[in-house]
Formats: sequence, structure tokens, C-alpha cells
Amino acid sequence: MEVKLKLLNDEGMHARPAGVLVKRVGQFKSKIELISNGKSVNAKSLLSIMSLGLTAHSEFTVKAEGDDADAALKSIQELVQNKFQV
Amino acid sequence: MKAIAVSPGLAIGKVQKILSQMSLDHIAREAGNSDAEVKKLEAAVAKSLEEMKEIISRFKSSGQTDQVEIFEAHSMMIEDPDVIDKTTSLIRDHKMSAAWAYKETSDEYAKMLAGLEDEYLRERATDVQDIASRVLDHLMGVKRFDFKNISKETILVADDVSPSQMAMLDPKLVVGIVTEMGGKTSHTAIIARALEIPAIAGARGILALTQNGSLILLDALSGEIEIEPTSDRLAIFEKKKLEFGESKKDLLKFKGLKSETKDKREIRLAANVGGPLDIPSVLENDAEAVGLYRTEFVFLNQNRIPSADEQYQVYRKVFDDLGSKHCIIRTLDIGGDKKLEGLSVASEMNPFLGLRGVRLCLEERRIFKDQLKSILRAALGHSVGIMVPMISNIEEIIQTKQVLEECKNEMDADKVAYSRDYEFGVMIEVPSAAMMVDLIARHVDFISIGTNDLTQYVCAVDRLNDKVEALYDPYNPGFLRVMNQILGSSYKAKLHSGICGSLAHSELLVPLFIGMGVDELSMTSQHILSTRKLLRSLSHQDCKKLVGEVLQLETSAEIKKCLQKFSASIAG
Repeated sequence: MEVKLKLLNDEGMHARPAGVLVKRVGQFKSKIELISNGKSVNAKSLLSIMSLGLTAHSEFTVKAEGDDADAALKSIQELVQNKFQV
Repeated sequence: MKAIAVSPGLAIGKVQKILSQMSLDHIAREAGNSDAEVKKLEAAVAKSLEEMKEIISRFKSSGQTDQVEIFEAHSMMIEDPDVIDKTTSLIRDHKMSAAWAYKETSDEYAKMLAGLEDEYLRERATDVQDIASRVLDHLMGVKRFDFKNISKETILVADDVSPSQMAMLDPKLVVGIVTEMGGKTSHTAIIARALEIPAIAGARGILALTQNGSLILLDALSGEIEIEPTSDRLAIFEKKKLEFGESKKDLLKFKGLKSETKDKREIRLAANVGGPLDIPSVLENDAEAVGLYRTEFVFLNQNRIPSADEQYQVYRKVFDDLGSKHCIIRTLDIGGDKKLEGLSVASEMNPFLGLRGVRLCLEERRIFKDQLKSILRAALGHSVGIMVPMISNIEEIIQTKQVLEECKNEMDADKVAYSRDYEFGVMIEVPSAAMMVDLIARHVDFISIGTNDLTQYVCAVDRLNDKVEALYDPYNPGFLRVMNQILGSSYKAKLHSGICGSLAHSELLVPLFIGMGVDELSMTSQHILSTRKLLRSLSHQDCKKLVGEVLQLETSAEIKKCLQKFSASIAG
């Protein structure tokens, strides 16, 4: 299952938000991927996420497969909507 | 030799070279026992993570959150599952050695980041190289340079010092840093300033010129480096260093005090900045505002035209970091001699008299509008003045204001939030503008005098031509009369006037400008407190009298003498 999201923070997917995201993703067992511009990367990898080069307000897809996929997507969506403030 | 001073101060010390990381040429590519290599990798990663923990807790306890963030990101890069997986499969599938495989993987990620559009993300390639060299050192059993066993009064000399090396420095032992590479915005420079270690960068050839143990003098105010000085020079420098330390201490007393003359004329003491990196120093030196934010660096650093969003982020950071302090931001001042990729300007016979500043911006509307929109967006909720350079007639002011209106209309249509509450002003640096400040006053909220260019235009001297350099003279009576004309007219028109050139902190000329009626002096942050000290020793009435006296003198020598006498009288 997947969900389309848009970055709301002004800085884009820099190290801090990417780090927050990786930590959040790490709480789930599912295989979770970030997809942008046809490139799909492991959302548990900081460097792979940064290598997508997501700038402010860009759109991307999160895909999750596994037992807790539903909860994972919800949690990530909430994180993005809160501009990575935890 | 002379290079770029990136962290201010003076230092005397013995050279300790840090040689660049060992070359990877002699790593073996192949390894027979894959299991053993994978074990090595795991051990190296674990060791590196342990070190990071130690570094992070050190910064946490000293409350340096910026550093904590950098190294937390480094930790996550070291334990990045993709990097470890990729390395492991290179070891297993291609029978590579752990070091070779790790180097190949980390290079791939560094390259990927370096190829991105976002400047911030591009710069993270350096961080990947930094963590890679840490892990590789462990893999190859190379003992890292031990910063704990450094002797006292050491000046580090290196190609470049990586952020993690900087993090290991003990400022009690390392009194100075010289690097061959880098500049004001390098990581080394930022951390050196945070640790208050005097540093000079861009000193090409310094490694070849020095040996471990060489005595060197670092003047990280001017960028001057002296190697193996004579005992006379050493004595002079020691005295200078002592005085610098004392005057710095003495000046701290002026933090938090009002910038006013003895007879209560208040002057706004502001700072000149080039970007977010200069803001800590603005706050540290207690400047009341930013009087000149040069936006060229956003453009020139990248040597391309940054997107509106990129600009917005940089401007926003500056405004945010300044908090409630007012900030005068100058629109793009390039053209002529300063070239920019993506912007083809025909070469000119006289670039200083050519298509530069607002002239270029009005030609290149799209670039101008992108910048103005970024500024207006970033200014929301902040106290900001927009200042336009190289104005030589009223039409340019009117046209610029029309462009601003267009920007606002377009942003309204696009439902973009921006600031409607900003000040608008112009630079006075062209003689024609200098002579009609009373007319300009009808169209603007403030002016700021760029004394470097104004001197050059008034005296008709090319600053960069050493044959006529001596004629570039701010004590020229004609030039001072022009200054009086500008400041007098704006005073009469109740127009806020500033000076943002290098004369703004001139010990001799400041009393004169105060007498002429200036409202704001804007300078490099490090001069703020000394100028406040000077200001508080002056009387506005005496300064006015001084103006009358000076304007009657015929030569710059006489003027200088008169100003020196005045300066001595207040000091005494």
C-alpha cells in the first residue's frame, strides 16, 4: 500500500528531517520505500533518502509492505504534515 | 605570506602538520576470506559509532547544538543500512577487501549527493567523505592523528581539517589553524569561529614552507602569516597580541550600552553581512541591526543563478537568526567585472561605469523579480529594508518600485504570503545621486552611502589601478564636501541616512560624519564595539563644529592633521 505526500517544510529533505524520518521508519517492521521521479529507495537509509534530492514542497510516494504497513504509513504521513517536528 | 582570515584573533605557536588522509592507492582490491572482511567491516563501523557517541556527548555537555546535529547526522550515515548492505555484497559477490568495498560504496553516495540540485544536499558529499575516512582508518588500522596528545601552543597546518577532526580539537592546546584550502564558509572556518580559535585559510604553499616545530605568527585579523620570525618581530607581535587581548576585554564593557554621543544623539550601529554564517558574530558583537546584507554571495558562491526557493531559504535564515533586529538587504550588485554563469554580459571597456547593479537588474527583469519576490516572502514577520545599488537617477527608482508592485501583484494572484510592511531605500554611490538626495528623499524611506564606490567615482580613480591608487583619497576636500551635501540634505529631509562602506568605522572620519548628521554606521561586526566606544566619547555639538572647520581646509594633509588633533583631544 502507498500514499502520496508533499513536503511542507521550507528546507526540503535535508539531514535533519531525513534523520527524523529514518528514526520513525525504524519503529516499524514493514519494508518501507520512498519513491520520487521513478527512483525508489529504502526509507531506513538516511543517505538514500537524501540522494533523492527532494526540495521544498516536492511530492513523493511512500510505499509500505508488511504487517504494520498501515500504521507505518499513517505515522509517516503525520510526521510529514507536522513538518518533521516531533 | 598573506591569505584569508576566517576566524579573527592573533596567535603565536609551533607548527604541527596534519597530513591529508593516507592515499588509498595501496589498498588491496581483492581479499580471500569474505567472512573475515565482513567481520572487519562490522568492527570498524562499531568503533566509529563509539567515537561519534563520545564526540556528541562532549558537544551536548557544552551546549553546542549545531555541532550535535552535524555529528548525529554523521552517526546515522555510518550506520546507514544501505551503505553497509552494499559494502557487504561487494565483499561477498566480488571478493573485495572491506576497505576497497567501503570506499567504492561511500564514493558512490558522495557522487550521488554532489550531483544534486539543492546546494545544501550537494555539500553533504563532504560529510560522506568525512565519515568514510573515519571508517576506513579503522579498517586499515591507521592510527588517527591523536588530538589528545598535542602539545601546548600548537598551530595546526593542514590541507584542510575535516569537521570530525575539528571536533577533536582542544582549544586550550591548539591556538591557531592554517589551511591550504577553504575560505570563510568552509566547515573548518565555522567551527574555528565557534571555538574562537584564530584561523587563516587559502594559504597555498604553507605546508611546503613550514616544518613541524617551526615557530609561526598568525595575524588572523589581516590574514598575514610570518614563518620563523626574528626576535624583534616576535617581540612586536607579542605586544600586539597582548594589546589585542586587553582591548578585546575592555571593549566587552560596551556590550549592551546605548550607541549615543555624550549629548545623547543616538546612532544606529549596524553590521555588514554576507549570509547566515555572519549572523552569530552580529549578535556576539551586539550590533543593533544589519545595515548591509550583500546578496551577491548566494549567487557568486555557486557561480550560477539560484532558484527563487533557494534564495528564499537563505534570506529567511538570515532574517530568522536576526530575530527582531532590522535588516537592510541589498539587491544583486554584480555586472561589469563580476561575472556570473548563466548571465551573459558583454565585456565592457569600463565595467565600473557599465552595466552593473540596478542597471543590470532592470535589464534582467526575471532575475530581479525572482530575487525581489524571495526577499518579500522571506521578510514576512520581520523588520526589513530593501536597498537598491548604483542608482544614478530618479527614473531607476520609479522603475524599481514598479517592478516591486508587479512582484506583489503576481504573488497576490498566486496566493503567496509576503511582507507588505518593508522599507525601501537606495545606495548613494554615484555622484549624480549624491547631488539630488533632496529629490530622492521623496521616493524612498532611507539611503545608505557606499563610500568605497563613491570615493572612486568622485575622485575619478580606479581603485584597482596601482598607478593612480594614491589619488583614491577619502580625505580629499571635494569628496568630504559631497559627503556633507548628502548627509546635510537627508538630515533636512528627515530621511534616515547610513554609511555602509569601510569609512563607517574610521576612527578619524566618524566624528566628522556624526557632525554632518549621519544616522547609521554599518561595518564588519568586529568593529562595532570599538566604534560604540568612540561614539560615546564624542559630543554631537563638537562634531558639528569640527565639520565647519574641516570644510574650510584645502588639502587632504591639512584635513588629516585636523582630524588627528580632534581625535587626540577626545582621547586625552
